[in-house]
Amino acid sequence: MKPFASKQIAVFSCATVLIGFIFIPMANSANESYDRYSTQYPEIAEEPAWKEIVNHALVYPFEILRGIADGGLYLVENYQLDQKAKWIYGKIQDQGITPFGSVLSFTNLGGGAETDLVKLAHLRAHFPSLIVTHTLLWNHRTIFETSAKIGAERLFMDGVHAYGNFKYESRPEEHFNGIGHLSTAGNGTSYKMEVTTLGATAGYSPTPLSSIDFDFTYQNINITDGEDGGRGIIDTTFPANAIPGLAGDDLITVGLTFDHDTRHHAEASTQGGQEKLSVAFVNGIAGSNARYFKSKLEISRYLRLGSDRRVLAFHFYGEQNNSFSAHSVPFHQMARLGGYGDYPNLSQTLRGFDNNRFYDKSAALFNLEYRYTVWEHREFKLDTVVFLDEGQVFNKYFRFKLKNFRESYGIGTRLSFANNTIFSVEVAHGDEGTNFYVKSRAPF
Amino acid sequence: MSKAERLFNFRYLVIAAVLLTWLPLSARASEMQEFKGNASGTYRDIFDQNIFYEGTKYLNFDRLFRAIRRQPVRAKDINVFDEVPDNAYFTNRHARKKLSAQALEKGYSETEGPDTKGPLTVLKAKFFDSLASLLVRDSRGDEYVLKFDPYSHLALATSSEVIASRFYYAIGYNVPQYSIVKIRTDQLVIGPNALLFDDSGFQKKLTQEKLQERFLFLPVDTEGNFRASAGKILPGTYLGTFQFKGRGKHNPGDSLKAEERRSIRALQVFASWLNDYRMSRISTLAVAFESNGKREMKYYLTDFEDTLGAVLDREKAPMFTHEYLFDYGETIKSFVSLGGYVKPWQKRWKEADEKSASPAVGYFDNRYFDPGRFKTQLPHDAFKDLTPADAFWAAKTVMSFSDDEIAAMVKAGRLSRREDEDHLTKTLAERRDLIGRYWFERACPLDDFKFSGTLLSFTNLAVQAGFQDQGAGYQVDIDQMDGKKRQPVASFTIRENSIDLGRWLGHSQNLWVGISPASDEKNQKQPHVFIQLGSSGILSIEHED
Repeated sequence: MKPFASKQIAVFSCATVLIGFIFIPMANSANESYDRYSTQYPEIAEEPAWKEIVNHALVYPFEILRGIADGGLYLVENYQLDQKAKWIYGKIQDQGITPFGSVLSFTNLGGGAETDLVKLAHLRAHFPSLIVTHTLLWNHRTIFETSAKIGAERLFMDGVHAYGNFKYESRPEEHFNGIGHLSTAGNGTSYKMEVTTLGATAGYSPTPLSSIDFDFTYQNINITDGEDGGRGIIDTTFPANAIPGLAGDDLITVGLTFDHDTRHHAEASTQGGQEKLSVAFVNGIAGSNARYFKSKLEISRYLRLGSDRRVLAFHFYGEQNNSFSAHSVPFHQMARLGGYGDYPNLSQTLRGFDNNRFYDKSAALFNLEYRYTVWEHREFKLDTVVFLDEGQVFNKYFRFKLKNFRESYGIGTRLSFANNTIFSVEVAHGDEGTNFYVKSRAPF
Repeated sequence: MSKAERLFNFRYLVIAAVLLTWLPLSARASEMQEFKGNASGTYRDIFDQNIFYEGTKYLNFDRLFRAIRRQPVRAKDINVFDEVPDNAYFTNRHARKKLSAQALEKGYSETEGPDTKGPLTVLKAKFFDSLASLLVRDSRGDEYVLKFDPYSHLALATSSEVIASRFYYAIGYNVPQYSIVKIRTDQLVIGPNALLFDDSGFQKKLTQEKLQERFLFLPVDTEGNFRASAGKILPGTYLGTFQFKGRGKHNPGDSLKAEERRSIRALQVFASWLNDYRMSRISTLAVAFESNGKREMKYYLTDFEDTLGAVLDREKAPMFTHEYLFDYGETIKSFVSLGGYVKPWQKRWKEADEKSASPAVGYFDNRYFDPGRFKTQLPHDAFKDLTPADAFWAAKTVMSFSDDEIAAMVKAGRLSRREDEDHLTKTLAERRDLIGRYWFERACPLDDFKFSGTLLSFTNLAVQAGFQDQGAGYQVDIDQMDGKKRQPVASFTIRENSIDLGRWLGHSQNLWVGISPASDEKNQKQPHVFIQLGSSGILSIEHED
């Protein structure tokens, strides 16, 4: 290439670049006269500090609480205290011990543990069907219970099971207001009941949904004055001869129970139901005058209303105790209504009334609940429940009258995880007042 | 009242006054320190956002009055042209200059990913529930967090994380480098001090047996490889998470509250696009680093395994993105209606026959998707303060991505089934349009203002996207500056996307032009955009909040 030509090219190139530098930005400026991403900010007057103080004045006191809560939560998460607690609980369970808590009311907290002794002895692999358990339960001023069970889940063939059990329970504050639907709350007394039970059960489950069990039980029942200082003394308020069984009893029971359970979960079923029929002959020994025939029928049904989130739950409970002539049914073995539910209490669900409010030989109870889910997050669920309880106690069949039903109604909310109730708060109103319940389970 | 009592009460008054003064001042005093760490956690975040701030929001007078008067608060991190300039939180990328398909697919990249030709030394392992992650160092000395897919959902979490990281990066947020990596267990070497964090909550020494045992429960691909998303550890000093509320505690130079930042508020829109359920401070990172001898801060979004159809170790639960963790409003609706109120997520789940598209994609579709009602796990004031102008800015960014560009970013997820890629691309493209249509209706959709000679021209993004036709044109209101006051001088309707302002320009140094889509219905208020013009051209642009 000649030097002249090179020079010409160099000049031309420089000129082109120069023109480019001059005209390209000019052309751009004609299209867009601003840099839309520039760091030129509009002028905004800064708000005075006092304004922020005034705006937040009401929040500052709560900020102290937030600081405490945040600190605690940070500590729990950072040191994984919740994971550690869960792991420790799991490890204890792996050893065969299952501790549990029990909430009967705001002030009545308790707990216990179930121990699988076969697992504890590391023999579960050798004896998969063997049952050797011990249960301990305590609730402040309600119950102390210790029980043991020994038997086999499978005996000779699938479905055949048998076990023996021993149980001691002390109930320091069982309430009693008299017998019959006309009893008044004003006669409120309490008694202490200590029950020692020795029994044996053998049964057959043809399917996982149904079973038939034969029971033979001996019970020693001691009745003494209750420990509830605010209530009357039972044998002062009620003469001993007016209340059968006030001196305690020794009872032999022979019974048969049929159970058919199609619920898909014990506490939060959305379908199916349960039918349970039990009949028993009870005979008093060692001076007890008791001799009666006990029959109980319990039916529950769960109807899904177009969605698992809306369920109508129905529960019926009927109990009849027919005493033989010249014999009696001890009051402590009678049908009971009142309160939230039967375990660890012995009374059936009539929430607008106190626990054990009504006693008599027979009882009929209907519970209707409309349960609907208002919040759910993965396996957590919050249900609202609107309920109506109708129940009455009576002595003989012909004494059963529709007008004698006592009703209670109310509303509540239940928080559950994987269909297990963790916490429930319910308020019920009946003609004797309003009751609040804080529980860790559903009544049926 | 006795003298002693009066003195006693006076003391309390003094203490209260001191406390009220000290509390905000102490917050400012803490800002005097440079680049401070800021610890957070999930539990704390849930309590703060979902319980405390929700419970006390109307005790804040400012917020209460604004709620009553429905008064929006304009973002403060925007420039005079209604854009967010590049800052420590946000860098304008795709909306500023279209990224190539290769760049979109690649995303933020420092390396090609972990060097799997050599051994990967495991420094730390976390095994929680069905989640497994490892901190590894490759032969080049780079460290990565490997997060594996949960059992029975091969590619679900890993592809979601990588794909979402591409989107957030292209939009403009800072993200760490994420890539898909396939490994075998024989490539993993346990480091001498490697620790294991598992469900027990106790840290243990990691052994080969424990690692092998855990890998038995992880899914493998057809070649027997384990699949993980590899997030590169960022250079710099980690200072914890950044806040979505209040002033940042890391940086004394940062005077803006998080809820005053458009770049934070707009995360509500971007999260709705990417179905990002867990968009909150626990998925963020503040990093201090040296640049040109200066110490600077950068704020990152991290951990995207809760995006698209995934949520950590499983498919998204049906209520996710429709409800907050504790959604008081939805709960009250259900309570009052006695369970009769069927929530949109319930209808959606039922219509989907209670199953998702595929195990690798999870539960991600556009049925009942409402851009205005999308909810992250926790409520954030910053998201509630989103104004139509903020949302318009975010929506136009979302709309800047074409179908092919979306497909390029989805490709980064390395999904093995073409149908899964197509499903994601289609869903994201549809959702882009739903977001654009929704927010362009609520703000004045005019953008790309150009001023040449006396002609002011603009683009109607809603018309350009095909969401609207030209309709009745535009209502134009012109004000001139008379001293410090604005005086209306003209009001007329135009049908074109340009206005000749020659008549008014000579009379005033500054001209305010308000434009809104003209409405066929009388008295229907349309959102405006205001353009201030001066002798040097466009001085400012402001979309109405």
